[in-house]
Amino acid sequence: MKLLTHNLLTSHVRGLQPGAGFPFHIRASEVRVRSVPFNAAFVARLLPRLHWEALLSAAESVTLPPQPPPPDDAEEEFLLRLHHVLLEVGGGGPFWGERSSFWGWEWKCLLWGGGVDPPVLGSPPLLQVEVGEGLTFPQF
Amino acid sequence: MAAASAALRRYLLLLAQEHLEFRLPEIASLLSLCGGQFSSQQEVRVNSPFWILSIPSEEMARGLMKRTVCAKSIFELWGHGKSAGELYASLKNYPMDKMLPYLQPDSTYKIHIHTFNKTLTQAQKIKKIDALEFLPFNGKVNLKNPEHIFWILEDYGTDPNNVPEEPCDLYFGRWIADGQRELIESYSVKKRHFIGNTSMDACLSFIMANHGRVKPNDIVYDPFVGTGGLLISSAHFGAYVCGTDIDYNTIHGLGKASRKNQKWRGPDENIRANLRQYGLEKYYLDALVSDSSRPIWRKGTLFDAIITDPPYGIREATRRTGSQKESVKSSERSTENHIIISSSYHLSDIFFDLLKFAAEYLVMGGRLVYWLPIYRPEYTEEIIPRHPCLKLISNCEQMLSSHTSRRLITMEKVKEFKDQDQNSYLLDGQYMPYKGHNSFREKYFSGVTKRIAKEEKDNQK
Repeated sequence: MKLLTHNLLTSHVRGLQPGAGFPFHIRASEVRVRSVPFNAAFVARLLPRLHWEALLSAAESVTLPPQPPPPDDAEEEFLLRLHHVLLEVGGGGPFWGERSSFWGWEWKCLLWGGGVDPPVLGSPPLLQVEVGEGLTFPQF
Repeated sequence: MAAASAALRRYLLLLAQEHLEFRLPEIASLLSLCGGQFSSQQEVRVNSPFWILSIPSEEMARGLMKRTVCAKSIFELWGHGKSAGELYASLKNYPMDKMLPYLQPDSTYKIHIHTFNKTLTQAQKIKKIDALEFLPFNGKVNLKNPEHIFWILEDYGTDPNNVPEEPCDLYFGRWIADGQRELIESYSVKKRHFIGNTSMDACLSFIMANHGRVKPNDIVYDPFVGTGGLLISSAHFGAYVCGTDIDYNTIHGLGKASRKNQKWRGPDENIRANLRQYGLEKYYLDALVSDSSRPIWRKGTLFDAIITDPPYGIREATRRTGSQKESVKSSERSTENHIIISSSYHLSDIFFDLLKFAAEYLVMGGRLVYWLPIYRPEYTEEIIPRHPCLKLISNCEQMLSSHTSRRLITMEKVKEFKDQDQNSYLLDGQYMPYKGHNSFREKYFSGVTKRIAKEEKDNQK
């Protein structure tokens, strides 16, 4: 499963405290990185649908802690990093696992791809930036 | 009004004579996707293979043909008549300045004849081409690789038992582009890596993506994904795809194979491999095991289109996960031995859950496209499930047997979802007719068993 999917999923268990079913807890024993062609326009369209905090903590729990981006970080660079984290990092195979607690499903990752740089995700830009087709970054 | 229609140019669309009902919604959806619109002024005879469309630009016509699987070709219409004389008169009226760029002395061309419902001899064809001498064809004829292709199209009606001597409609036009009919062959289920019992025919799955107005960089979701056949057509059009299914074995590519002469599914039979077969792996997001009656998605608008074929309980079972109480019994469940307890899932509930889900999770203007099984003797439009946030766009029937059919329903989200909309279908008193969907399975089989009994009786006579 990709981190994008992780960001969109919530627990289907009924009767949870508000906000308790999201995000799923990730126990990153193994992570797989699979190269996916970069498509800036698609990543830009994903931005408004993301839960940013959940993504940052998910990226953190499978990889190194996020590093602040260099000050002259270009928009393309940001989207490229986001692309990597959302679409290229993930656990192998489909959703599987057991319900370990009342908090939702445990998410297990398979196989840490050897020799692949761990993803580094910076803070989102604070200013509204125009991206392609008149889309803008939301303010986080 | 007159000024607006003067800006539109007339194009002739040549359609394939199959899936007749599905053609108009496809063309209308694609025109709106290309930024045009399908107005009531269009001269369309629904059952004819020839439609005259008024479209603002050739670019839009080309955009339409990059997507359509219902239409074969599109032409810039130079002349149209009910007889040869009328056609020639109409051609002489076509502005010369619009013709000349394609008739230059340094260009090459050929003229092609297409007849519908009649076959002409070579001599007849040549005679018809020669009759067009009055047009200033200054270029050189090149049959193999011409720059411009002109078509004479003749319509001899749709009744094969009553073919008229002379065509009832004649058209002349400049060929612009072909549609995507070849996708039907190249994406054929016969050659697909991983299939299930109810894998969708390639043509219909492209029609579904077109009715759903799927476009590049969309996220398309199928809540009854099966082997992912419907995702393939969306991915072909550049959308990123994901799906869920309650069947653990299908998602993981385990269990018995659906193919004849193959007992078990191979190690690499999964949705990702299906996409890879067509070079579309980059559009794969994820396929998850999940129950569509219990949404697993975070609140908010997440999907640009939902395209699906829910199980009717005939060739694939209708199931959902059982209650907490039931699942306690299977406490030995573990990750190695994954068992999902499933209970029967009523058809009416499937469609309600689906509509509610679409109303909540589609982006504004996003479309839901799904199949609804119908017991024909009892069909009325009232039994099509509705939701206050979704507008019915089209409803096309495909026959399954004399008494059953399925209808491809396309709906568009037109209103923001609010929590009070969740159960609003219960309030407007329309719920009862839908209950009829539950007995579809019984009716389907009652018809079949009756027919078999009758056939056996007839054979004994």
